[in-house]
Amino acid sequence: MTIGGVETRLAAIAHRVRTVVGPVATTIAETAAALAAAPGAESVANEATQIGKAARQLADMIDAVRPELGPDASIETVCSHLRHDLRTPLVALKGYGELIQEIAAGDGLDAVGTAAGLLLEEVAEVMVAIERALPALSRALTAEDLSSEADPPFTPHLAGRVLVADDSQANRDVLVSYLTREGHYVEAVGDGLAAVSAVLEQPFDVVLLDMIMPGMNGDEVLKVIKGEPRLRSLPVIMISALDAFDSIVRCIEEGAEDYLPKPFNRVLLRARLGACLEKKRLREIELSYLAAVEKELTIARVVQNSILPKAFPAHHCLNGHGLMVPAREIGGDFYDFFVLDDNRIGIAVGDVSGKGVPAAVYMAVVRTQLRATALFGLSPADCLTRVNDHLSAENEQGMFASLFYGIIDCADGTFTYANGGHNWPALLRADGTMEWIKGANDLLVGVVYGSAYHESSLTLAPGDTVFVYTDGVVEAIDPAEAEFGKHRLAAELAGKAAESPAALCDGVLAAVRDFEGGQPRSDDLTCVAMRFLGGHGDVSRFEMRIATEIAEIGRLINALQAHFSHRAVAEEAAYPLTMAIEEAVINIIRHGDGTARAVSVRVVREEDRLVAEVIDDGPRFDPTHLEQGTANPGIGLHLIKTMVDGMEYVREGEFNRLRLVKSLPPSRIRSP
Amino acid sequence: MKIAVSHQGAIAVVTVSGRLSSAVADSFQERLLALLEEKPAAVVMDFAELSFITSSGLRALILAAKRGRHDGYHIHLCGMTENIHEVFEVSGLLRIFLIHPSLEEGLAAAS
Repeated sequence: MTIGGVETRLAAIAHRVRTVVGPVATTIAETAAALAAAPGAESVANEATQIGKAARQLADMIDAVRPELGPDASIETVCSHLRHDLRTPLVALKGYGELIQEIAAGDGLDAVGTAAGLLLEEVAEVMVAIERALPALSRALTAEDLSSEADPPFTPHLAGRVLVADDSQANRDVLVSYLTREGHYVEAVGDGLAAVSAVLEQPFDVVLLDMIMPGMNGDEVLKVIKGEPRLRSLPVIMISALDAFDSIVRCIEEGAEDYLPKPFNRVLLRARLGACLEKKRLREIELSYLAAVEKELTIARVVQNSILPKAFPAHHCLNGHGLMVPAREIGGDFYDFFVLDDNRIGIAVGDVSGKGVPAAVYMAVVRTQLRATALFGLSPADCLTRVNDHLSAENEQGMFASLFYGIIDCADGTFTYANGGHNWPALLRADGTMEWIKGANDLLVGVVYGSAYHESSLTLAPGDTVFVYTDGVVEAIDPAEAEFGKHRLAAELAGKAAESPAALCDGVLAAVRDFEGGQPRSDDLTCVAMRFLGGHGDVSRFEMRIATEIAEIGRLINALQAHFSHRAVAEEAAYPLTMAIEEAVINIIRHGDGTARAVSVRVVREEDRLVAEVIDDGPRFDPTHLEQGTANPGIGLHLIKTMVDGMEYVREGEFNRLRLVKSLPPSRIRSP
Repeated sequence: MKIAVSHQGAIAVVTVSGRLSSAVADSFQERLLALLEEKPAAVVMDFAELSFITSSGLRALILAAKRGRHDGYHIHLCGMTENIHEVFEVSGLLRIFLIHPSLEEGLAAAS
């Protein structure tokens, strides 16, 4: 570059300052004069003088502007100095202008205040004019700077894969050599079609796209890239002459990341490319973080699903099904089935307040509490009372759950239930009619410590179905914000007595989804259906198998008590027989050699007596023939002998079979 | 949902209308608990225009009832529509609040 070229450019800068900034500066001088002459200006005379001085200084500087290139200066430093000098009088203009405005407002000098306001607006205009005449990024406008012959200072940067699309061989060469020296991998193509096939074929981190190319223009290539989902996030920098400002704006609106003016400036190119690559890197970090969070939620969902029962327990008197669909990845609904003994199965459905992770954690707590209590064989009301006490004892967060727990006795179809603030379940009779299972409306669990829970019961006829659900069903809303409601659920269930429990659940879910019309789910949704197929009719029979663990005894005794009380067996017979059975089982568990794996207990009613059998698979052990004085077992066995009216032992194959007989009191044996 | 708060002497009167959904339950709870900081003599809530309440809304009310029990005042709920009443009935919550058919009766009882 010749010295003459530099001089021409310096002259051009001076010209721009005069033509762009000059006229606004003249207006300022006029406004300053008008301000000094305004009625009441004498109170601000001193300030007005300072303003007049600053306005003249600005005008003189613009008249006299002669930029010169010093020994170590560049065009950019010249512009930067000029910007600085021109701003100096503006500081005085702005400062005194604001001061005058304040005084004018305080003293009611309206004309002075108006003139000062006008002056401040003009100062702002001069600022803008200076930026226009001497843009801070003037390197971009000044082609190659003299000083840029030297390597730009080294700054750490990201290397990337760059595609250059430009129809000018010279431009491609410049860009490829710049970018390669910066450490980027560069691929260059000469037209739009080649650019499209390149981005489709191989991965790039950024594309430099010339606006005007033969065949397919840069903006058309941009449209293709932004229209392809796989490429949408690929940053594109448009290359263009500055006079094509409108097309640049259009491209940025269409998704271009930035633009690069021609001819190229290394610093600018590096800055814009660096920004793109950094942005892309941050986006990738963000995406990987999101993916990690999603993965954790997916795992949480799998964990949560795994604690829901996989299937309804197989039972010849029952058929059942359950489903839970969370509103988010994980939810606060749950259901559970408990096998209490051979005749009785418990079903529970709960809904924890709130959604998402906090609800899911609380749900796990509620479910664990319930499981620990229910499997112990307690009645539904006792279960809810205990669960509620546990939950509400330490509950700072005000979390609570609605919880429905019912036990079906297959011997005769009795369904006993307690309801802690849960939606009334539906009862679908075998004839297709529908009713709500009301009664036992007690408080949500976890709210008030010591709250009492009650029990109700109803009798299921063969073919009757209990349908328990959560808010997600009845509170689902359609696009017009109407609620699904109980009436729609009733309509969905009515007449479907012949459909399987699974089909009922799926049908309700489909009806709710249809109703929502594709809106995002508002709540977790749970459906559980249980159908009673008919009892075995043998109400006098009890049968239960437990593991040889002390903890199992409680479950057995609770089940036995429920059996006796449900069949109105006289306490005089039921109590001692239960006690004798308990002693016998404890003997097996505590004093056996540990090889027994399970104990079965059966009780049948024979006319005027109850006959119990305790069977285990341990080694031969005849409790009826023990030597007097044997330690503890003797006491337990002595107790058994006192409690029952008859005791027999048989070894059958690998099993010990102990038979206990207890006579029923006379009042109970009168048959109808 | 709209919440309006006024005072009748030491009694705080809260009118809630529209849908008390999960989306607005947090701001409802915040507003309600801030009001309780003033330790009113009673809180009377007018639910005549309340069309829907979600479990998160119930949670806010339960927290208010607990606070009231601790600080010695009652929460009165007035003018519930049949639908809202059923939600309280099903949840077993009717027993932890004082329920009145209308705002007038609620105010009379609270005074």
